[in-house]
Amino acid sequence: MWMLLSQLLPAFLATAAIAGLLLCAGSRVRADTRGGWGAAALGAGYAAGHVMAIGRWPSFPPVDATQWLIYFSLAGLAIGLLDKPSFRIARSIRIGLFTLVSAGFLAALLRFKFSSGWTPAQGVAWIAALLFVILLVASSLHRLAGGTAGRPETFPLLLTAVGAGTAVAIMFSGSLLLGQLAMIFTTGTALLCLAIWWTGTSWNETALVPVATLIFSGLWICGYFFADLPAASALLLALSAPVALIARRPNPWIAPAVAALIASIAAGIAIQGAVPMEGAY
Amino acid sequence: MINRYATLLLCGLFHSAATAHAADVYKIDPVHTSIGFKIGHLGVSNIYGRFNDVFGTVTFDKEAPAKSAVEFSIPVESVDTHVEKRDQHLKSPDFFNAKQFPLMTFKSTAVKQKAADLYEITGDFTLHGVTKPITVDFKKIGEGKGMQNEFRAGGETQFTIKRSDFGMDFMPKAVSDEVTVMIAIEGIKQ
Repeated sequence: MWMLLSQLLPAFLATAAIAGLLLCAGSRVRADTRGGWGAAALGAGYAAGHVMAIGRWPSFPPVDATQWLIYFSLAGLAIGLLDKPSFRIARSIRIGLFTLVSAGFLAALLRFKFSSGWTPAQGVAWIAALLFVILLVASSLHRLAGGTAGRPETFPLLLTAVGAGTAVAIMFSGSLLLGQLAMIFTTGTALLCLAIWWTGTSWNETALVPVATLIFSGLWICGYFFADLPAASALLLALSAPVALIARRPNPWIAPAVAALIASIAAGIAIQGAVPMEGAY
Repeated sequence: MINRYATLLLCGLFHSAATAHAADVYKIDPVHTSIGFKIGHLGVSNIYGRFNDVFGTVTFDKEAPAKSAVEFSIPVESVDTHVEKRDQHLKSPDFFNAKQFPLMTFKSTAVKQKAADLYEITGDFTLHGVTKPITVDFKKIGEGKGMQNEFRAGGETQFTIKRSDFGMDFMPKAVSDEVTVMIAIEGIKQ
């Protein structure tokens, strides 16, 4: 048990340290400029934890496609920084940029499928479908972030619930590392939840959407294409935000509760389908 | 003039026949080939495992060993440590990432005879998408007729690699960096 903890803990501590530092800094600035600090805490905190989890900074471009996650967390962070009231780039440009980055992310993650498995037509269909799902998730998260009705901490709480469900589902689907990466991101969202609750004001949560969407969708895609995450689990996790958006009224706490319920079902399906453990190995 | 052409043609034919005779091509017989490995667990003991599938060829030139060549591939999906859950974990992105890197391959670049039936083989070993040169000592064990009158030859080698050199560095405290690979190959002459 100690061996497992010593493997996992440094990454969580690195994320907590970096995200905590950035959130402390963010709590001291004007409330309407805090979104960038929140995005930085999630993106940089995740990157720090990722590096600790694998023990090095991955090469660029990475050989192992799953290592693209770190670069796209930073890309998400950068797009999030463009979303602030004092210097707001036109929404259409931000959406265009995010769509472009997401398409690049998908192409980088799934390039190997084009050389073994997919015909060009199948590849284009898969990328288009996945891009649609990513944009649906981003759009749902954006509307959820902008409509928390005076309870801004409910948005990072929703991210924490989805992150925890993702972590459990992927760990039971055969990859401890990808599950750990999901837990690392969840550490950041949980800290952000505490920071927002502590300051008692909104942190312009829409700035968090690009980094959260890219990391979540990257983890679900990696879980499905590289580990053995069941398609039903991946789909449910992807639908958790859109369904929470539909169900969010009249109480802002309903959205995280619905997301948590869907993420739990997704994790349950993964646990049910997991290869039975024959004692510790 | 005709005689000169005839002589040249005969020389060419004899040369081709001599070359074909010198270098024999063996197809690796997966049924009688074993790819095993040994890796440390928690610094306490070693875990042994194997790959159940392999394919490739060995071109062996008795007269000029430097002209010999070895090329084989091992499907990572065939890893077997006798615990299904552990095999699934080994195939995951934590270790082999079998979906992205389904094959482990070796392709020789140089073969040198060191002693009778002992050869030094240098080649490119590709694991987890990373290619590194390695040099191994290969001992030829023997050759002879098989049950269906086919001609067989075989030998074995053992070498150690660091998995971190190939970007496989997850769980360094629980699973050792050094992996000993044991290969016993039997080939059928084509």
